Amino acid sequence: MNIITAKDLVFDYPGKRALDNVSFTIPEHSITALVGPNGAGKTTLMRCLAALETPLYGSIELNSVDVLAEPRECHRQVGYLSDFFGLYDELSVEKCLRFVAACHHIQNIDEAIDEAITLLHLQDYVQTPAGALSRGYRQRLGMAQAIIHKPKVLILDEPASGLDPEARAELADLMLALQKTGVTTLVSSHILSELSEYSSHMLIIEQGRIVDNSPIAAEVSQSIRLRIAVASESTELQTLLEQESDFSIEVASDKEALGELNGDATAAAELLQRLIKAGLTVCEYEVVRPDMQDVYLQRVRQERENQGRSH
Amino acid sequence: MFNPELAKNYWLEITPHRLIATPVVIALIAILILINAETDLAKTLEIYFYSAAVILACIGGAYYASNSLMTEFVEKTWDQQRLSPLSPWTLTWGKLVGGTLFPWYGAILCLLGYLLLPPFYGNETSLLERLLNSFILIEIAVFVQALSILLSLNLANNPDRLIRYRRNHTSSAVLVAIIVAPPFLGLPHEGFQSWYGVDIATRDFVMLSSLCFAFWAVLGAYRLMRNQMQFQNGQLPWIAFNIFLMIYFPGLAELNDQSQLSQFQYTIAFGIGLSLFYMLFLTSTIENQRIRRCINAIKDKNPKALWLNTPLWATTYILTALCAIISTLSFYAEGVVFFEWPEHSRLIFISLLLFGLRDVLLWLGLSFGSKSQRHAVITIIYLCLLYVVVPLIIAGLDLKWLLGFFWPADAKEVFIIPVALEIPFVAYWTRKRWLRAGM
Repeated sequence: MNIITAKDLVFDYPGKRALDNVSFTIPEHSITALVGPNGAGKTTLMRCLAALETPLYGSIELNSVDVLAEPRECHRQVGYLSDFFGLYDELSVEKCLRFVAACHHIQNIDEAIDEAITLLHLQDYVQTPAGALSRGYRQRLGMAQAIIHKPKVLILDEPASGLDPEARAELADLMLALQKTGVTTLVSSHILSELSEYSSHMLIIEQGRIVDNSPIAAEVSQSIRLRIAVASESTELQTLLEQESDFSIEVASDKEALGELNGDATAAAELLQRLIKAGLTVCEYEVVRPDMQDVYLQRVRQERENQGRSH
Repeated sequence: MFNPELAKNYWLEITPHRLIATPVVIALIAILILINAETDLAKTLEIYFYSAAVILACIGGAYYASNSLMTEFVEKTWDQQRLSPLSPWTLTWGKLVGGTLFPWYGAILCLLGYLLLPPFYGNETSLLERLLNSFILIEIAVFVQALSILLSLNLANNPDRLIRYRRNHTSSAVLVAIIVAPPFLGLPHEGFQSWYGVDIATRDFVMLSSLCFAFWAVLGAYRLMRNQMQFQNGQLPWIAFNIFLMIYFPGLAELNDQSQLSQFQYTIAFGIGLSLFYMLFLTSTIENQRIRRCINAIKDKNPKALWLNTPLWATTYILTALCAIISTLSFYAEGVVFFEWPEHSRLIFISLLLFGLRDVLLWLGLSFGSKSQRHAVITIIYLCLLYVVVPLIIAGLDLKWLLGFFWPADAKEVFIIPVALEIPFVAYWTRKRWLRAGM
């Protein structure tokens, strides 16, 4: 079931069309990576979805709410974190959260604050002014503010920019944890490798147009990309794999092979069993997830070629 | 929580240091003044406390009100505010009262001093009089503070510019307070004020006027807040405000020659309409989307969408045009002639109206350009060229037949046809720019 459905969105800035007939859907409980070059229209699109901007044409439905007709209802259902994660620097973490919780008319404010603080690991900074926090902790506080009212949809604009690797890893964990609680997330970032850690879907936008909107391949694909390595060199690896009718080899040597198995995880487990039974010393057996960056670049180049042809 | 916005401002503005230091500073200055006052201690104290309250509530209040909003933009918290489920009214009064809590704290201490201390020094002004003066001060403070928020909110659609010129905007808010407040606060409020020939006690008139202006300013701030929170506003309050100004100010007109009074009053009403129109479009952020929605509404024959999306300057223009038509008809009915001009001088408002149309088309055309960020400044420069430099050149070259394209009138006649011919050309150019911008 789709939680967001956008149809034919058009948004103009003076002298520039930021969104050009943008249509897409986002399934419930997914984490969708919104990717595209600078100036592609990512932030404008996110702001339209959060009912912070009104598109010139088109419609947006978010959790059965007509965003353009009922922007305030949309505000209740959405948690939005801009790339600046604005905070009141002079207020303590606790006061920042208390203010946001009160704005959302949350009944048990103390409980909501405790929950957000625990989820974002802010326990040691409860009374610290927001202005005194490091960038990583400011980001956590921004996230805590965005989720304190338990939104159905979370929209995050470049949440990982400027974070250290540890904070990024924690952000990825948080995204997955929120996904398990039923939150649908739309996240934009330039760091595609990081997005691939937690994203289930990818939405590519370029020059205000949607280039691709699809689940990330591994989630739905009928095949699995496998890398198999053996401890001792043997020509047997390549020979055995060539005999497997469902496995097509991309690269193979005496020590390692990379290829695509036509089947699911069970088929992969059965293949491993057969290789071991045949006496191969399999030391590495890895499902290679598609590289988001490769997919992204491939789709964008394809789109540019199509554009070139049509012109 | 009563009003989260108010609570947040309380946390930010009222610190223990400020709570203690403010009365101490006020008291120390009062003591210093008392020690140095040679005569009439009561009067000296009264002037000190009242002036301090004015400075704190009006000037300080305007500064703090504007700054509380600017800080939201600088700290990038404005989007969070817009997304909050608080109602626009809760946010408006939370900001109006909350953002100015500190100056109000000082002002209320000063007002208490003004009300309670002078009697101990033999003051002759009655308590009722001082209470009424305090009430007027509070009204005016609310007016300038709301005006300050309104001016900042008017620019909220262009946050980058707002941040870049933050100090200028805050200083402008203070300047507006300095200009607007004194006419209401000049003491003592004695005698009578004539309004459309009716004599009203000056204090009552000031009190009622300041109440009206405070109401309009708060309403304006509330409506802009609604806009920021993605509510759509209709036009009725704006129309009512325009009509209020067009009726209120002409009522103050006084002339020795009563036969020219109505002509003078019409002129004031029209002047107010035209000034509002110019002020509005020159301070508007670029409205391509709004204009497109208007055009769509007309195409779709959707009057509700048209009502919601018509730019305010367009509404004001229509009202000013109505005022011009009524005035012109009345001039013909009464046989009015302006100054030494011949009979068709009665068409002066129509000529000015046409120049207004040309100028707004010019502004629109400039705003449709790709580098349209500075279109208001460029428009002002072009208007200076069109109204000052070119007419001076024309006068210098003795090409007076050309003057009608740049001025509504000269010493001998009012020009209508030249500007009427000019408008289609400017409209064509504006449309071309609109199409080129891909609208």
